[in-house]
Amino acid sequence: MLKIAKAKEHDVVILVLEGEVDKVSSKRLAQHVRTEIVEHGERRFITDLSRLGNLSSNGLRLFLNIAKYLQNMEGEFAVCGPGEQIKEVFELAGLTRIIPMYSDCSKALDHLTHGH
Amino acid sequence: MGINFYAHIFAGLGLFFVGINVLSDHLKSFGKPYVAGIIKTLAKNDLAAILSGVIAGTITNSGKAVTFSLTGFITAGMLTTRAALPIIIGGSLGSSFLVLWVSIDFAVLELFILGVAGILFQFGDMKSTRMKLLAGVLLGLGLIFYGLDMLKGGAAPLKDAPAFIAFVSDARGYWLTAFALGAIGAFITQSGSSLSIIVIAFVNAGLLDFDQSVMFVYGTNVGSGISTAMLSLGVAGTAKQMVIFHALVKLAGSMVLIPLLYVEVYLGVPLAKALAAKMAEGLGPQIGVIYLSYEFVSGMLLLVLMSAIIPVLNYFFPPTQEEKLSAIKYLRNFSTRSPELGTVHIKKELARIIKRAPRYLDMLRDEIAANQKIRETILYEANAAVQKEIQECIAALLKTNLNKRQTDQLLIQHTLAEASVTLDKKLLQFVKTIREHKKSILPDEFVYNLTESLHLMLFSVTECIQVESSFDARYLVIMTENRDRVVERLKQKYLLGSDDLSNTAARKKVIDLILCYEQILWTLNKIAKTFAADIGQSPSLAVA
Repeated sequence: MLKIAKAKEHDVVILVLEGEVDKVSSKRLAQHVRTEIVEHGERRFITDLSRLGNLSSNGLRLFLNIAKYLQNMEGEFAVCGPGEQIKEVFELAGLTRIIPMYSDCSKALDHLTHGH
Repeated sequence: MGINFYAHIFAGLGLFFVGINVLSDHLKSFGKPYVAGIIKTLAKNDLAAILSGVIAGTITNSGKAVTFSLTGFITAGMLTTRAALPIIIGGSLGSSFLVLWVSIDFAVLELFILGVAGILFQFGDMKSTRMKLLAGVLLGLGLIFYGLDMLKGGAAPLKDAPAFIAFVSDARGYWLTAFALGAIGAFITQSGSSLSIIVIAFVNAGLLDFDQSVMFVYGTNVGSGISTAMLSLGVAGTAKQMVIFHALVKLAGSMVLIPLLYVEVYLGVPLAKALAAKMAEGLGPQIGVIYLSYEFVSGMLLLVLMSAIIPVLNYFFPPTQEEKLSAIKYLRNFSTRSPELGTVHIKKELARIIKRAPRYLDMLRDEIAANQKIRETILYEANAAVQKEIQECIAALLKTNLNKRQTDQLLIQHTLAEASVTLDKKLLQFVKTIREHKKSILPDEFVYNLTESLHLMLFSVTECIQVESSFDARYLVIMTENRDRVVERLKQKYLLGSDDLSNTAARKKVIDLILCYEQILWTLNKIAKTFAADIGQSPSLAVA
């Protein structure tokens, strides 16, 4: 079961995820992001993973697709606050080379707001 | 009857069996390269398929060899099951010609055949395959005829033996006994035709009643059919369908011809015996005609019933998962005449195989594993069969006159094909290692993280190929490149920093998995770079 909370600061959409990203909930999350991008024209996203449990390849695939899509649209995407398991699986999958990962969500917001 | 009698019987049988084996081995070696061509060329309709089966069966002297070779053609997409069945009928018919031929008394001809064989072996160029095969075939034939003559001659005194006369006259009319003996004998010896040939020799020697011999011959076919049906226990899928059909070809004739024999003998209606008498002189050759007629009637019966039999075969013995996975799709129409089109077919077939890669890991992921009906070894064997076809097609195209662009494109496919083979091997090793040791040794989190991360990368390859996207290929290159530090951190965490892995076996398994993971990454990196080169772009999207 995945809970998605949305906030916005300085033109950056922050999605706080709680629970687990599985095959079903990844579709819901994808729909959320699509709505923000297409209907609201948002281009900068941070996903707060601090309350997320395990991350399977379904979730990894979703994050990769979001990153590809946003990079193609000259947008930005980052993740923050991952637990040990999520951090490791991101590294093993090579995603840290494509999606910036921050241990602290305020640093993530700072970088996306002011550039780096 | 002294020792001479038994010696002649033994020697005759021995020479006969050696001859059958020598002839079969040489005919099969000679015929094998041609059988595929004959079947491919001729099997365009039922009649042509039967003819191709007759030729193949005559060349190889073995209906079973023709039947078993058809499975390979079906798996390779060269034949459908429907097209293969008439070939089995023809194969059975073709392999029975030897019985007819041997039933003819060639008198001293067999001695000349043996003489020529000996001369060829001694003075012929035995380095030449054709010479070796010709000498072998002649030797086999000569030994068969000479062995039968010896058997005939050795058994001749039986005609005057009081015990044998009593036995034959008591047994006269006991057709079912003759039938059962033929069936049991063919079941045990696995060769109805060999036994039939021996019976012909006894008939020629005046030792056996004609009608009993006919029933004996019918029995050998039934015994052969039952033993073929038993062979089907060791195979599955399309091979089982072929073998069961072959068994039916052997059995069907008895349902028609045995009742007809009773009608002919007791009601005087001229049927099989009358036909044989018209077609051949002498009891031996007439038995040969009866044998051939049995195969013909059986085959025609099954040809008529084929449309009803096929759904039954498909229902009870459907193609196996491995067969379905091993079937080629795009290479069925492959031809070296058009290099551009040939390369496209190769590319599509290769893409189809690479896209299966995530299935290896699906077998480990709990939510899907329950629905998986394929084991990793079956997927691996099936992929290997298709990869072999791909490599053969690439090799065939490379031998033609290609321009530089065509050669470059083909070499890219060659690189991808090799990488695909390596990827399969490593994925199989990965899955097997986890399956064998997961519950006892390997840390859950370690296995989960490796599996999920690899699954993502394999999926990325699939998406890359699906949409032919250089954009996706670039991302995959970035994800799979320069992973040394990640691998080092893994080793640090799970080998040096872990209290759970206290024993050497556990550590070795962790190292094996990490090494496997690394090798899969290298291969995926190679695939991604090759794919990107195929589309002509270079990577530039990494996070700074």
